[in-house]
Formats: sequence, C-alpha cells, structure tokens
Amino acid sequence: MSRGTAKGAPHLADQELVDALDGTLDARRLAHVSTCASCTMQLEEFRTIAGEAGAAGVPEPPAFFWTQLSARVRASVAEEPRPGSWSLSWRRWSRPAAAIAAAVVVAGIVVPVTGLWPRTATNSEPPVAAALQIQDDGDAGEDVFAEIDTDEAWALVRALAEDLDHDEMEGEGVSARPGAVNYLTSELSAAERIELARLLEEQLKGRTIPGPAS
Amino acid sequence: MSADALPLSSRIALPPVAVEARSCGAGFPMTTADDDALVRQCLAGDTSAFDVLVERHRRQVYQVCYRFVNNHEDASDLAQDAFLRAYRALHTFKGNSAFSTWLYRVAINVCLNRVSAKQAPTEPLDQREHPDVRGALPDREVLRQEQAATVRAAIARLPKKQRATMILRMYHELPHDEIAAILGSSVGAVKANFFHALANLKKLLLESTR
Repeated sequence: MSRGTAKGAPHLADQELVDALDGTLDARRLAHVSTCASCTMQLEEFRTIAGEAGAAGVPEPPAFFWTQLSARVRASVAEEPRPGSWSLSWRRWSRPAAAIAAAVVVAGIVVPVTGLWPRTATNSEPPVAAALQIQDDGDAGEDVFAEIDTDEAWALVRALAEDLDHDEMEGEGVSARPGAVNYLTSELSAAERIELARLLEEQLKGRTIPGPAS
Repeated sequence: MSADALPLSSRIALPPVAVEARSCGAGFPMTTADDDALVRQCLAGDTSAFDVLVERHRRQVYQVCYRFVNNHEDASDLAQDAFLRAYRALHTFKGNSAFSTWLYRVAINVCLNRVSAKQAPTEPLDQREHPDVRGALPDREVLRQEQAATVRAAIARLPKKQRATMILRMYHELPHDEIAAILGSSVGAVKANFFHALANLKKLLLESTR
C-alpha cells in the first residue's frame, strides 16, 4: 500500500509503520513522522486499533473445562503409539536416503517424472506457492488430515517430512517452505498417496523407479 | 481483565498442576521440570510427562484457537487436535525454539488447515462471556465486554494469514521472525500481513459502529 510522498521525504511504507508501532523505526524515518501530519495520524490510528485489540481478552471458559480438555487429550493420546517409535525403527537404515526422498516429496520431482500430478492450483504456480495461497484463501484439506492420520502408506511420507532437516535439504540443493507437505497431503487422492509412498519406498530401497506410463 | 489481555510477563505464571509429583529422571519432580525435559521423558515412554505439558500450555493453546474461530466449541476441538498432533510429532521437536513456540506452530497450522475462510465464525451474543454476569456488572464493565466481543468478532473475520499474524503478534508477543518461521513466510510478509490486519480491523470496527 503506497501512501505517496510528503515534501522532501516519502511517507512511511507499510512495513515502516509496523516498525514505528514496534518502536524499531530508524531515527531518520522517525524524524519524518514528527513533521508529517499524515504519517502521524495513521500511526496514531494504528496505535488506537492495536490498543483496542490488545485489550480484548478471551472469555474465561467454565472452570471444569480445563480438566475436561486435559482428559480428552489424555484419552486421545492413549490410543496413539509412542511418539516417534515408528520412524525411529527405520531411521537407522534410511537416514542417508531421507534427505533425498524428502527432496523428492517437497520439490515435487516425482510428479512430473511419473505423471502423477493430475491437478494443481494453477499451471504456473509451484506447489509450495500454491499451498501458501490456499492457506490464505481457501479451505483445502479440511478433513483430509483426519483421513490420512490413519493411512499407513502415507505415514512414510509424513515421517520423512517430519524428519526434514532444513540444512540437510539445503545441502541437497532443495529449497522448500513449510506447508509444502500439507499441500501434497490435501491435494493428492488416497490412490495417489499410496502410489507416491510406493515410489518413495522403492527409491529408499535403491530400486529403479519405472518411467511414466504414457 | 481477561488473563491474556495482560502483558506476557504477567501471564506466564503456570496454572496449578494436578499431576502427581514424580521424578523426571534427573531426580527433580516432573511438575517443576522444564519443557525440554518433559519432552525427553515423554519420548522415553512416560506419557504422563505429556499430561504436564498439556496442563502447562492448554490455556495458551486454547486462546490461540479461540481467537481463530471466536467460539468455545470449535476452539475446544481445535485445542484438543493441536495437542494430539503435537504428541504425534513430538519426536520432531529439536529444542531449537521454546516448546511453547513450537506448540503455537502446531496449533496455528491446525487452525489454518481446519478453519474455512468461507465459514464466518461467530460468537453468539448470549455466549460472549462465561458466565453471563452482566446484570451484576457496572456499566463500564458491560461496555468493555461488549467492545471486546466486537473486536474478537472482527479479528475472526480477517483473512487467515492476517488473523494468525495478529494473534501471534498481539497476544503472544512473538517477534516477527518467529511468526515468519511459523507461517512459512518472510519477515517482510509478516509485517505486511500485520499492517493489513490492522487496516482491515479498523475498517471492520468502523462498520460495526454504523
């Protein structure tokens, strides 16, 4: 959002206004605010809004709610295996391959190679960028996550993704942003997830991945 | 004043923990163990350590979720889901950030994935406070509660990324770089989102007074 210029110095940009609210705006730009009625007014308006927002607390739930919440969490956790127990068992043998497989998942290399990718948000957007777009504007993946929690084939992909080490991936020449795996999760059908998991397993075992069907 | 309207430094006092005082491996009671030690304990197979983590962080997680959906029922479900997902992913917590920050990341992702932008979250007028004691409150307090409800409703109408940024910045006082890490954005994008959140909030609050 551009707010034009004042005599001699441009008005504060959006991010500078945020810096001014935070008290981190540099002195030179702060000096502009003191001489600019427009910037002063906008800053004061934002301070007022931030103050109103800050004063709006969350209603206190009934007292019994907290113990009820803990009990619900405890009951759901009781049905789960020990955290990390599944991935620990195969991490011992698959660690070197994890970065490669993760790179495959996150970068979506498998998709163009095998022709698995039937749909994307747009033809030009990379999956990660599309994922970020979806998070802002849509409701993709609302119930998919519940479904895949019990999908054993997809557990391999999830475990790989959870084990991602950013530096390790950078070392593999892969740059990825959070949300990429969520995107894959929400976009692939159950059959596609199974196929992707199969391809990953094969890659981890060092087998040759068959080429595209067409 | 609601608990989360206080400065962060005043809000970090832990709620009473009704968990048996057990040893946490290093010879100190589990209830006083730091979060990292509890995570290690849990990963070693003692799930009661996770109970302590839940009791410690449930209020903050619930509040993150409540601000997203602006109603108790959904916030309650989201908070439960956030803890379950945190449990499943506990082995991925490397201690590079505070456990609470990591937990916020999980909670925010649960909210982002579950809350539809098309769904207009509402807080029914008759459930805005628990319990409803407005009849016994001075006028100023009634007014304050109504203003707070209006602001919460307006925040819940913000686009999801703006909402997440606002919640983490305003109510959990996370720095921009941590918010960027949680949301998978750049610091610049976080600041831009915060700017637009404030600008939109201003518009929404103006609309609500008409």
